[in-house]
Amino acid sequence: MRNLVKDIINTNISRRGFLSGMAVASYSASAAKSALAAVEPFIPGGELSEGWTRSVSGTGADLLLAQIKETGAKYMFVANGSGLGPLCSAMVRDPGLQFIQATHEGQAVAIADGYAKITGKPSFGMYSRVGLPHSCSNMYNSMKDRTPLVMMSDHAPSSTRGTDGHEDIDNWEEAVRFYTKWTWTAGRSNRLAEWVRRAYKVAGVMPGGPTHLRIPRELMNEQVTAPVYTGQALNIPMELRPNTQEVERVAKILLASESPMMVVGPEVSQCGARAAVQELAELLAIPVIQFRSFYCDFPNSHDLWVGDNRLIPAWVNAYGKPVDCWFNIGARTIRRPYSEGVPMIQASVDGDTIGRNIPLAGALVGDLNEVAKDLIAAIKSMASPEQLRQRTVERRGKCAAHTQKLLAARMEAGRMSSGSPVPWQRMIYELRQQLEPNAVVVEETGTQYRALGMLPFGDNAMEKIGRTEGRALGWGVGASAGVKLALPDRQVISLQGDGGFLFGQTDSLWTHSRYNIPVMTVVFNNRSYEETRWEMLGRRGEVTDAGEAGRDYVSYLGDPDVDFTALASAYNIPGAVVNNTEELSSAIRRGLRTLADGRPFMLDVRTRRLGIGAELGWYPGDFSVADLRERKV
Amino acid sequence: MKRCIISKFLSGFLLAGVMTPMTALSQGVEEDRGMQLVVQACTVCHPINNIANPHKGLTAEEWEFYFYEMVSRGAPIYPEDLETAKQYLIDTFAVDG
Repeated sequence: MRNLVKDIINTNISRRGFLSGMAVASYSASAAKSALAAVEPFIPGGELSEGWTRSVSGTGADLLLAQIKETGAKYMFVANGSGLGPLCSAMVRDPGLQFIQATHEGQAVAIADGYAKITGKPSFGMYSRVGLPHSCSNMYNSMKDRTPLVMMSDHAPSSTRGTDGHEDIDNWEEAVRFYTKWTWTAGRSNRLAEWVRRAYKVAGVMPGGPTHLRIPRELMNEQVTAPVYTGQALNIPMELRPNTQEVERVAKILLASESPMMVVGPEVSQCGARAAVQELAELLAIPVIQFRSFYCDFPNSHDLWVGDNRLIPAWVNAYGKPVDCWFNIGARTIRRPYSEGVPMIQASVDGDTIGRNIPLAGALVGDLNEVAKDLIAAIKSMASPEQLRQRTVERRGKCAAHTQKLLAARMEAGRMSSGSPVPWQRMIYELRQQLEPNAVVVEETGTQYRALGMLPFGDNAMEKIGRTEGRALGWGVGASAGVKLALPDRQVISLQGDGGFLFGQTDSLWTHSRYNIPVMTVVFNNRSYEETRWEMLGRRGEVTDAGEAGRDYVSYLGDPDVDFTALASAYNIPGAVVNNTEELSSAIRRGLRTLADGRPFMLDVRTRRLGIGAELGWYPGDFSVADLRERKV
Repeated sequence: MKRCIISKFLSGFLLAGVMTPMTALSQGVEEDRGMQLVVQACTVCHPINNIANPHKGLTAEEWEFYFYEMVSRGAPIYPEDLETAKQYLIDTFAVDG
């Protein structure tokens, strides 16, 4: 649907073409009409109700700022660049928007991404025109996650375009085409508000994503009188309902299933559908698998929570029946069927991806909150409460016993782990003891994230953000700042590996410190890129040539042995080093006290390497540029 | 002795591999509870070679660490089986530390 929305507001297709396209994408006629009504105000020449615009006189930057504020934005995520000059002057004339500054563009995007992932609304950002390449890594992450962003930059003066001039290339837009839903270079100052509105709209329509707007400097300095679109014109109701007949058909399939399995993914959270999906799962006692997600889309201490897809066989064994119906709700990127010949139903807000990789027995396109609610209503209309109870009582009981035992074993493993260096799982266990029940965990780790299953996530519990689907490292520290900004009254901790932390994001500690962002950054410091080492030295249980030779060429990080608390100290952030489990508890307490006092904190936890090559001391450290010299200069 | 146990472990895995570890368990191939718990819990994530490869030379303390690490990551095992599975790994694979 996002392409259809983009096309209609760019006048590439007619209204009729839009409705036809929606029908092809399996939306119901009423959903298509509802969507058209929502995008109508954004179509050039479209009907605008009286009072949906107001006139603004000033510079192009005044217009830009006024339009951003009309969306309800409180913050703008920026990195330094002289192109922001006109906007800074506009801020003097019309204060109220808070800049949150990063020291480079990539981290500005990461902070904006974290903020948008929590609020669900597009974040605004601006940076230098030459900062675009730097920003791309996290733009890619945002695009993979469908996170709504409006990232802007200045642009070379119109008079020099196409001359391969200073700080310029010919086709900037091409550079981000694959990382954005829409990108545009503004051509007239009196239309700046219109383009901002459009970028905001395209970014925010589910499935969302980043947009990029470039504005030649002279346009921001020109004097104009032009319309700004007011809050009402930016209200975009997009709660699209699925096709009614398909809902009834899917309800019948689910009711007939002896052993269904629900697979949840990030669209559940993005649609605000967690409560409805939980109610649906409970209604039929459907066990739930969490597909890879940057949220926890179903409460992970719930009786129906089986875990991730690796744990399907354990459930099948406990239940004694193979899965006979898969119901994927909101997992966009499942590549192949979990079991051949077993029907799969998919529900997605993204008509472009539904059924893309797997033939479907049922397809529900629409807002997932509406999908779940409609399914609940359909099921209740087909079976009485007593019939539902009889059909589900055995599965409900077996699933609860199974899942609670697995959770208990997991917690016991955390509790029993101790020593020096610190076992990862003990750190998570200790965090569970000390964090507030609604703390937020921003994680950018490897497969260790699985140990996070010890922490209770859900709507009335902790919240998990990350790791990104794109997996481009250098996101988490910045994102945690954006998350805390959106949720100032909840504890926020950021979990990083030492390798990930060193991926160009230590700079975000500057932002943490400047704005008193009380986030505890926990670096699990095993002095290694552990999982790349596993892949390079061993592959599917077989030792590679590098493994046989004991050559760890690119994964060892122990030389130099980075002192992360010293690094934090350079940004005036206090910290502590934890070498063994005896030191853990008091260090976490100290960190949380520091957060309570309004300052960030760094916890450098020396953790144990594991797996193939863990014991290796070899790395190509015998090469020294200093030794190449013939003169000591 | 350990070589003999490892051989038994691998053949048990191969048999389980034909039927999948879970069905093997449910169909009563129960020569050694510890071995079957380990196969059941560990192979959901990685090949059995990762366990059986004897050149790893881990000590009992290291096996205990690995075992809890893997359970904390979600290796499916019930609390009442933790000790049996852990002891099986130590008895089978640990070297003197």
